Amino acid sequence: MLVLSRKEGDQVLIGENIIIKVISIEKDCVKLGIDAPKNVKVLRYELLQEVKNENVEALQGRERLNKIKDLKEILSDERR
Amino acid sequence: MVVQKSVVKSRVFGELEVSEENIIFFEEGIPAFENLKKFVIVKEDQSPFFWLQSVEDKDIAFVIINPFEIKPDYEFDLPDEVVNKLEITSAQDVAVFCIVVIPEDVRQTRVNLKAPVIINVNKRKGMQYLLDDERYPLRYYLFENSNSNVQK
Repeated sequence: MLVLSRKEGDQVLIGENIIIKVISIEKDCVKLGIDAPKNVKVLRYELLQEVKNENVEALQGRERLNKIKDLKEILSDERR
Repeated sequence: MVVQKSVVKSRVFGELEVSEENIIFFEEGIPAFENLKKFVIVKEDQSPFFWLQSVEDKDIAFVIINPFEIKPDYEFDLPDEVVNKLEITSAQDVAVFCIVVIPEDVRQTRVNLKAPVIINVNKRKGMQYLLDDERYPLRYYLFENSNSNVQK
């Protein structure tokens, strides 16, 4: 992994056309501006991890779907 | 034209006969299951739910729902990336589903509105796309938010 020290306003060029700019630095938060072509996906890493976790958990749904149907009946009974 | 049929083994449905023409190709797989590229959509009887069943792995099936059934104002602009990758040419090409997570406590059932599954029904290409949209949560709790809608 390449590690760089950058000051506020400094930029980093990745490949031909991806620019990362340090917008501001406050306490424990760095604000970055990312300028990349539209076909390059830019994602917060932890969001992708969360989606993966949800997808893995979703596999259990197939066995539990019948319970939801029961639950729907319970919930509609409660409202009556 | 000869329609190729193949049998897909599914843990949920047993053996499913699937026409090649019903198989949806996910070029990038689905996050956490990147190696699986072929899926079919199967309707659940008497419920708003569908299954997104892997053709290649019988154990992999996601419960999915049409998000407009539970959140009628759900909307987002299709990013260029999706339009290009799925070869979308008109709005009629597009179907959108969201993955449903049913935890042990089924009252906490949630729908991933942040990362919809977008499908070009004509080209039979799909992908799960992560929306950069603060309006829609990764965990939208089905029963807290929309009891009445799910009754349908």
